[in-house]
Amino acid sequence: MRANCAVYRSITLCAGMLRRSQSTRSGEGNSQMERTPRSEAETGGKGLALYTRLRDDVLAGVFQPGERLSESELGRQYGASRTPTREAVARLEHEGLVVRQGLIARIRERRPEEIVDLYRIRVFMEKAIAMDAAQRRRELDLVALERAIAAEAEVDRADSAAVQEANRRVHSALAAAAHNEPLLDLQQRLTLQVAAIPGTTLAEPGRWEAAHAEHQQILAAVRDQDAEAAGAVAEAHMNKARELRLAMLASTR
Amino acid sequence: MVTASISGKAAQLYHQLRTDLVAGRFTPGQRLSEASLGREYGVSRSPIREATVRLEHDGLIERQGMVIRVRNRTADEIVDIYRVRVFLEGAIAADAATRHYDVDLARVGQTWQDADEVDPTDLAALTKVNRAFHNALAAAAHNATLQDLQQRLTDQVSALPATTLSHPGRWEQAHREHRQILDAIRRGDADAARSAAEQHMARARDIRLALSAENQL
Repeated sequence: MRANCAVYRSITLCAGMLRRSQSTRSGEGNSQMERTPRSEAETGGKGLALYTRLRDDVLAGVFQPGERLSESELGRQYGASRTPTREAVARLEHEGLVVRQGLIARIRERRPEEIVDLYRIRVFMEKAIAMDAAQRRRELDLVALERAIAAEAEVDRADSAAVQEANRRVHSALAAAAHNEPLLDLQQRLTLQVAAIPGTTLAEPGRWEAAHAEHQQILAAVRDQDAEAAGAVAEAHMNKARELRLAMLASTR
Repeated sequence: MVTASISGKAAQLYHQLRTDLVAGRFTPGQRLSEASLGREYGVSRSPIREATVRLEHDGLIERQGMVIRVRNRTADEIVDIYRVRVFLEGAIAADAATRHYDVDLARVGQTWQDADEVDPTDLAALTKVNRAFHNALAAAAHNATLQDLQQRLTDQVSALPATTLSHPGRWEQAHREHRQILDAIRRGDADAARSAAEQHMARARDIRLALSAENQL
């Protein structure tokens, strides 16, 4: 059986990291989810707008891993014509959320080994980010990071999607503080792919509290410009997430 | 369903444009108009849009409103790319040491042999064999995500105007360093492989830093 639908619901990636979707979503806990309704609030090219909605729905688990994506079908459901639909699917493929086998596009399905690899890479990625953030952060970055961590504490812990989003905002603020464009670029790519994996380690017992405390420790080290400490805490933080994900994968086999 | 002709055209154009960008055929900051790309590559607007959206996402071009330009990077950004490559290549070498199959070793060994026979004054050939070595290494790591990130960064580095391999003595040194990485992987020594790969990329980073500093004088 698949994990609780709430986990898949309403994933909107961090502002400033990716363009935010104005999409609304179906209610919590529904096993049957709806495609995002068309929104007037979207701006920018049609391809980009459709891409944003489609991506959010992919991350929210509206589609099943391995599900076939038909462009004509998607066009009907999202009320878009062929070119923007093709652009949107191509972009998702490019981001590693969709795979194409010949002419058939499908939602990417990841093997457990691949998922563990994603988490392994996040260990050193977040370590590098924390170290650079400690050395390069500006006053404004500290304020943004403090706010993100404070906002995290305000989130309704029963709302898994909100918990995940708040966590991503913290990591996004940290990544911005590193002032390292290629690192930020790779972090965003990884974050998106991790977000597309069903379930969250933050729902494991006691994990949220520990993660929140670790975020505060990272902030303290970044404030002190202590790169070694920031790197060590971030590394331990992500190693814990990796171990939890490994345990989750092992228990669902 | 996707139709073969259109999706195929965009994919073909994307690969060709990417090859050209990575080969440094365009200069950083150069303006690319959809119309002129259409004329040059003989395709219509729709595949051009699809291809340029992807290239923008690859970090190879940038779009300011309606204007598309070859991505221009600051010296600091370039050094950051190398800094990130230090730990990426370290992670690749470490995974390759523990996960490689015999055929991976044979392939990495072959790319090293090919590099051994290359004319050291032929910069294009050096770039090619160097990339072949790193690609074979990335494949040996059997880590799809690492390979994906490595390719992304390598493309961005390749699109830069100069190469660190043209720095006096660097090719010989890099070739020796490749050998050290290969030997560590063959022994299955992940720590040694990581450290050799990290040092290798750290030297490339230092050279890139020196090149940037020279350009600012």
